[in-house]
Amino acid sequence: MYRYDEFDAEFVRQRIAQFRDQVGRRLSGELTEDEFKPLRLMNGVYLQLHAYMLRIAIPYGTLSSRQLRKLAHIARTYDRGTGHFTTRQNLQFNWPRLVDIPAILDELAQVEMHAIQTSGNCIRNVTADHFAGAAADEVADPRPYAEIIRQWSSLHPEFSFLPRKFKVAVTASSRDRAAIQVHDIGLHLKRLADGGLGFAVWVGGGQGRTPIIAKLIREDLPEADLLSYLEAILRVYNLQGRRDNKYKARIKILVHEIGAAAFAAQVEEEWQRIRHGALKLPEAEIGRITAYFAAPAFDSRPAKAALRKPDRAFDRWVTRNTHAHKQPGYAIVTISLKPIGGIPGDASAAQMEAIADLAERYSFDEVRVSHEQNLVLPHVRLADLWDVYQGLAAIGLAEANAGLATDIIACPGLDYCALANARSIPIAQRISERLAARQDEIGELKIKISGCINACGHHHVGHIGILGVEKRGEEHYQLLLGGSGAEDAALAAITGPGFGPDGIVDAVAKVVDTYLALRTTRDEPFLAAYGRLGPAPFKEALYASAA
Amino acid sequence: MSKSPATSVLTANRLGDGIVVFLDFEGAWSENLAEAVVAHSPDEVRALEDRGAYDAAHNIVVEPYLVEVRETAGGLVPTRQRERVRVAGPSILDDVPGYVAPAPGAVVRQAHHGDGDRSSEPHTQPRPELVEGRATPGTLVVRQAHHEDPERHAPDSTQAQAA
Repeated sequence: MYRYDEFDAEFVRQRIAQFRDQVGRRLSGELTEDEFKPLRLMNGVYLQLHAYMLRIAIPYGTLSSRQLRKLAHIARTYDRGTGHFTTRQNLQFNWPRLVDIPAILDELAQVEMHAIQTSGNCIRNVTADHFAGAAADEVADPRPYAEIIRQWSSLHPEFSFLPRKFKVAVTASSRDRAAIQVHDIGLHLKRLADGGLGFAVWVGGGQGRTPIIAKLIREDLPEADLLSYLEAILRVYNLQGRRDNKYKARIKILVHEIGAAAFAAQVEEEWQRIRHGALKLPEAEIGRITAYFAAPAFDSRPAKAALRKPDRAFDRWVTRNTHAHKQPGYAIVTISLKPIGGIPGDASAAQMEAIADLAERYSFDEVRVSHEQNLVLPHVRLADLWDVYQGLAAIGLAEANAGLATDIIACPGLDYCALANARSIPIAQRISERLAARQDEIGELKIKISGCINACGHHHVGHIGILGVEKRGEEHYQLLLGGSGAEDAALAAITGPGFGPDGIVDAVAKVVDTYLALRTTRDEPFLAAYGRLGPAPFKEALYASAA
Repeated sequence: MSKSPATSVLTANRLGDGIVVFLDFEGAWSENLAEAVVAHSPDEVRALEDRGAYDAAHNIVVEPYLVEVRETAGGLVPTRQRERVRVAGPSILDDVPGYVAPAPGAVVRQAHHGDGDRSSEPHTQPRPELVEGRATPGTLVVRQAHHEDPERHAPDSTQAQAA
């Protein structure tokens, strides 16, 4: 894992000292809320529906056991015993007191963490494939590049006040687990024709009130040119992105309005001007950062232990929640934070500590956070899967549902969020309970729920998406079908009139029933069936009786 | 502030810990909606707005705003679901793993107390009064101390440059 150098440690230390002073001045009345608000936001502190919320950055979703234990400690000491893992691989505490936040930041700094740039119109936490460095299907570990981008973008003076927030995601696999096509910039690390590493660069994707799939503006960017090219993109956006209307300020609107080709041409022009300057990445520097992410000391003679145990639940879990590892004899384990009827992404302090123990003992001290609100043990010996499973079962997190209908993404929604119009979590809970018994029969199905148009729950790219709205003061839910956040990225389409809180659960069940009835074989996934059938039979099932 | 609904209470978040509070009939900020003072007329609504702006400017609370309520036999009920959730707290707390409710009365105190003025700035206006009338929890008649004050809508204007 990456370790802070002196510069990292110093800028975090300075930032905490600054924020401690700012909090003190706010509490004493020296700063007004209008003056303080942008300062707290740049340090990850929101005022939500019921209390403050602190969003902590987990760069590219990678945590050590020590860091996870620290998060558990903070949850127990300063919050209410729980943390919430988000769709941006971050962690949110929902109940911190403003007076305690400087102390929390001190605690985080002890384990090389912070909350800087988790809000505000700046370059946010860089996300990455949660299987990075372990997946059998990647060309290289993308996290060194994510770390390089983190260093470049942290406190970048030119890009601290962009027209709007800016999100970058990185993957190194043809199977996109990082949803790069719905990010402001999506980077696909790949092998170039000359044998070197480079990137396909996608720009202008995003969800929110104007969902747009990103455009590919360069297929073969050499790795040495990564930062200069990103800088060129950001410069074009910073100059031309709209600042008069926050709803039209994201880069996706700029790319859409002037066209991808024109945008790419402007980037190219700026890039040619700067590409041979200070941002050229020296091979030695790439190597230095990459060394932090060196593969752990895998067992060179891994036991070919029998995975099977006289336990059907364990067999299901191995089938659903483990993924092929690049190292023979190892597996990637997804820890589902979606127990049936549970709250997506929530973990108690005790659960975090138990997972930290498991990671330390069985996964070379590493944990990952996925944008699907699960945790991952990236390097587990096949021979240890039974022990890991039992450890997870002991804390209620051994649900064998990774990628299934109960593995639901849900934003905090109206239960916590000041922006939300409707609750997301209870809808996820009810759908989970409703579909649990049939989830193996249904197969892969991604249900994503947002409590407002900002789409933190990724409803636009759900196979089944749900958008909470407010209708005459009450919660109402629109249903969308056919989206994907993967390499086949697509935006879901609204089916028709929305539903009440109970009706939306029934509606999802009807969609599932229709799919099961009409799929050609058990192996035809939902998206394939929807693509073949179109929306008509699903709309018929949803609305025919109401006509 | 937003539009002024006819039957309203004033809510905000407490500065130190962000907890949801309501202005009560004694002019304090309560965590309990049942203790909130209710404004029925435009003048009463305006007085609540004044008090909210004043207390926000003096660093007692953050982001005050009016909430439309219905007065029912069971007590005050916000008309919007959003505000009902905000009053009741997250609807899913029973399912939050490891959730530990705060100890009763765990209130964050500010650095200064007294009449509500937490500001280091000299204040130029008195705190808008909430006085007399049907002074029972849930109802209130207010008399505005500076009803004709042309700066009434900007009680925090003297604080704005204080950074």
